[in-house]
Amino acid sequence: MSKKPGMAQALHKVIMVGSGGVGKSALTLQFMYDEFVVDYEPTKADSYRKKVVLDGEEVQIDILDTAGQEDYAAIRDNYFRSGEGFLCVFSITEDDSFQATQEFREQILRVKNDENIPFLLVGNKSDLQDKRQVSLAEAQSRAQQWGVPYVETSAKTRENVDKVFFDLMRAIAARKAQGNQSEIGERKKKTNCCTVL
Amino acid sequence: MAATRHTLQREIFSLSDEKLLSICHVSKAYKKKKTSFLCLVSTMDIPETHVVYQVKRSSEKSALKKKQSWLLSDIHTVDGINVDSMDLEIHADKIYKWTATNPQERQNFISNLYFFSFGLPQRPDFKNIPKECMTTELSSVASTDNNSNGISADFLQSPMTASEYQPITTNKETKDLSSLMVNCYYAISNAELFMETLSKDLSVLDGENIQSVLASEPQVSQLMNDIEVAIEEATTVESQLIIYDEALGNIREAMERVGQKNQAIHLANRNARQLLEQLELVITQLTISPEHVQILNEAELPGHKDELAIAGSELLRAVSFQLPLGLDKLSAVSEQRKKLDKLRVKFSLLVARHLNNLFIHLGNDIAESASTPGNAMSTSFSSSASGTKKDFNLSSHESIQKELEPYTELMKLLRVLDSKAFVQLTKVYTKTMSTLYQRNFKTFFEDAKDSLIVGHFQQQQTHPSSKPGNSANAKGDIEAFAALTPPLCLLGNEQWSPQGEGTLLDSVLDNVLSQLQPLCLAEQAFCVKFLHLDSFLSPTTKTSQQPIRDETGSCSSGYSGVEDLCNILTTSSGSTDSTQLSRLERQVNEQVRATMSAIFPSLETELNSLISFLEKIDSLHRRKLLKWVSNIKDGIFRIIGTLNNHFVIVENFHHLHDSLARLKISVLDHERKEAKQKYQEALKAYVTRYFGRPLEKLNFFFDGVQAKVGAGVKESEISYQMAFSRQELRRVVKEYPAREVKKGLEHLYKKVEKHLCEEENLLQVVWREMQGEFIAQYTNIEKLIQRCYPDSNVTLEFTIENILEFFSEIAQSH
Repeated sequence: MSKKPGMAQALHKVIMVGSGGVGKSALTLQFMYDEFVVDYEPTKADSYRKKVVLDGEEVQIDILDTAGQEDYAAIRDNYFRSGEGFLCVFSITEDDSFQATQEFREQILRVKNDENIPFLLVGNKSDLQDKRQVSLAEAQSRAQQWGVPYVETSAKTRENVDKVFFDLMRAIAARKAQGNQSEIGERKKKTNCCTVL
Repeated sequence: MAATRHTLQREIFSLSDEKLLSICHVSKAYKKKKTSFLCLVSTMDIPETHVVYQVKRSSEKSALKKKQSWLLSDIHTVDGINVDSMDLEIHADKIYKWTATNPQERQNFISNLYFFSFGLPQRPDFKNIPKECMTTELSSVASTDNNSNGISADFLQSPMTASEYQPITTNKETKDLSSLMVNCYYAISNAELFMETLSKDLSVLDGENIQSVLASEPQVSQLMNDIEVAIEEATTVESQLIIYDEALGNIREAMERVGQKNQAIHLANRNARQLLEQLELVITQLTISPEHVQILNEAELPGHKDELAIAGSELLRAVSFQLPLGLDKLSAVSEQRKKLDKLRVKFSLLVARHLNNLFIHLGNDIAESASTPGNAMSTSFSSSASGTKKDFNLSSHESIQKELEPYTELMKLLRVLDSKAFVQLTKVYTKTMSTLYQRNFKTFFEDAKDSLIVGHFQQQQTHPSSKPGNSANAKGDIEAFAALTPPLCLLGNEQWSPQGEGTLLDSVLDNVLSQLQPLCLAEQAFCVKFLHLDSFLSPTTKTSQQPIRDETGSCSSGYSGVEDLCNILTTSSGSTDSTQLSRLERQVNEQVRATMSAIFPSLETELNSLISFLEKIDSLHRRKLLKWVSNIKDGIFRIIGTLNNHFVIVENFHHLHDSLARLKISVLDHERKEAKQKYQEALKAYVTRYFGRPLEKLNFFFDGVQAKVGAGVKESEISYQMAFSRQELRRVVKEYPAREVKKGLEHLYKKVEKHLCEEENLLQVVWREMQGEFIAQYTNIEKLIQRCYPDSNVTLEFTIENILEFFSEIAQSH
């Protein structure tokens, strides 16, 4: 009753992107409700919210799970715009989905107009090693080229599921703190300038 | 010269009784040697005529002879050719050109011509002649012809002679003359006699004339006198007129002044009237009748409730009256305002104090009476499941509400008149009620627990070995329950009687909830009404909003379901109650929610503890609880479905699904799926409902087309239908140029943004859905155009690329 909502509680907006059937919804549902949904049903768009403790601080995470199959890429513009961090998911068992990440990355950068947007390249379905099509090295080199971390997950076994979400939230939080600091820094600089002048 | 003149006069003109007036020695142009004289001559007889002669010598030795002559009146032009030239032209029967030998002579001649022709009825035209020549004086002639004094004296007279001669002009004169001449037939033969007769007649006439002159002298003098008198009269009149004029002049000034004054008076009058109107308005609006003042001053609550309410509204009217600009600076007005303010303070003090006391009093009173059963309104519940009577009652607050209801009007007035006091009062109410409820709930839940313990104990005693069977039965129950449509016991205020064994928990919970729910709803309804939570500009400060949902995670599963119920009910009733604009709805909802959570602070914890207690008692009963929860969910589905606001439905189903997914209760999987499905349905409904708008007319048109096709009209024949002709299509398509569509989409986005609440975070989802819907509609319309109007060349004025561009732009601008 005494708690004031919104006050001091950070809200991080995460967007799930990637081709259809790579397991975006599965990752989200595993993270949200600790469950693995076997039935596949293509998502259009769905929103989730959860309270988690991130490094000792209670924060809220908003997850926007998006459609992999979208007729028109421009429809994504709006939610890309609203996102603060992105989990770009592909399936290690499907090379096409890995190739598609390039396009998603480009669209996000174009819409956000920010090279350093918090972003994780996620290779899902790591439990299906025998069907692997995308090699670890290949994925890592792309991540390196983009300057983003690469993590392999399994929505089925829950491997690294929390990790990708928490890593991304940390990146977002750091980014926000940096933003604030640089704002303060700019202000300082400005005052300095003024005194010099 | 003079000699020449003399010679000419003597040799030529004297012979013909003529008088030489002026001469000029001229020669024919280009024949300098042959000289001649131009002579102006007048006849001696009366009336004299002037003739110009050309006189010349036919040979050197011969005498001077008249060669040509023109009557002066026959000459039409005398042309000097040039001011300084010696030439002279005379236009008569034809043009004659000469050159003078002496300029002086020439000038004089022309002057004379001019002078003598002056008296003629038909004068010649004088061209190119210096001005000084054209005078009627003949000084130059006289001065140059000093030698011929006689002549000049003669012709000086001649004009006068000419003027004395009067031609006979009238017929009468002619007649008279002829009759005179008839009488004197001898006149011609005997002029002398005639003369004599005439002079005699003349003298007679003269005499008569003189006589008549003499006779008329007195008349003349009389006339003179009369004239003098008349002149005097005229002078008097004139002086009189002057006086009048002056007087009039004075009056005019006076009149002007009067006019001005009149205008000023009118103005003053009008001003005074307006002032009076204003004053009347101000006074009537600012004055409260003395009875009301008296009531405000002396009223005592609760006796004078109604009077006070009337007086209060009167006061509100006076206080809230908007004075015309500037009038509020009047000291009388400010005084009256002060007076009103005093009354206002008094009013708010009176009402606030009384209500404050009343709240506290009621709080204490009910708390006391609650301990004695039967005093307060209570619902009793008896369960016969175990054969033991277990009563536990939750005291209703109906009596308090009844007690307070009459003050609703006063509260409303207070809210407007003194919002601070109102807020304070609200706080007091909330606090009192919350303590009261806390206490009530505590006993209530304790009773419930007691009855559980007792019942459980008894149950175990009576059926010591029934536990496993119980569990199986319960399972069966649940399955049967899932198949049937469970009765909406709680929400329909019906009692749901659980059947079979092991229903003790169910019944207790049922009892608890069935009592809690109407109580909460009643309290909410009362608060909304009494505290005017639904007002637009509610001055109530936002009391700390309890993050109800925040605690969901930490609560036990069963509890969270109940809590959801409370939550959603609050939301839903809040939004159905409020009839305001949708953007205010959320604010009102928040307020209702905040107040309710302030009033029921302990409800959640109590419920929580009850549920954990239940769990402690028997983990088996958790199953029952779940059944319970599922039942509640059903009710919620129903309730949510009845809401008017689509977006609230969408959000609530979304939230419900989320809650259910968190619970991870396998029994509820069905409900979970249902929630998800309902959420998707609601989303679809919301999207289609709000989506019709950007292309309303187009949609309408093509709905018609579709209907026709559906009714069996061939697609190729659609365009022959009146309402769906190509012109109509063109007209409709014209109404949606790309620019309009973009505007419509932006508008829609803003509206969606406004509708959806932050908490559920569905904006992106809804918007994505709308984008999809829009594109689907677009392609559908395009398809219909292609199919039904294949050769019309009509296309929508925007392309799919345009739409995507608009979406991107909207994304970028938010």
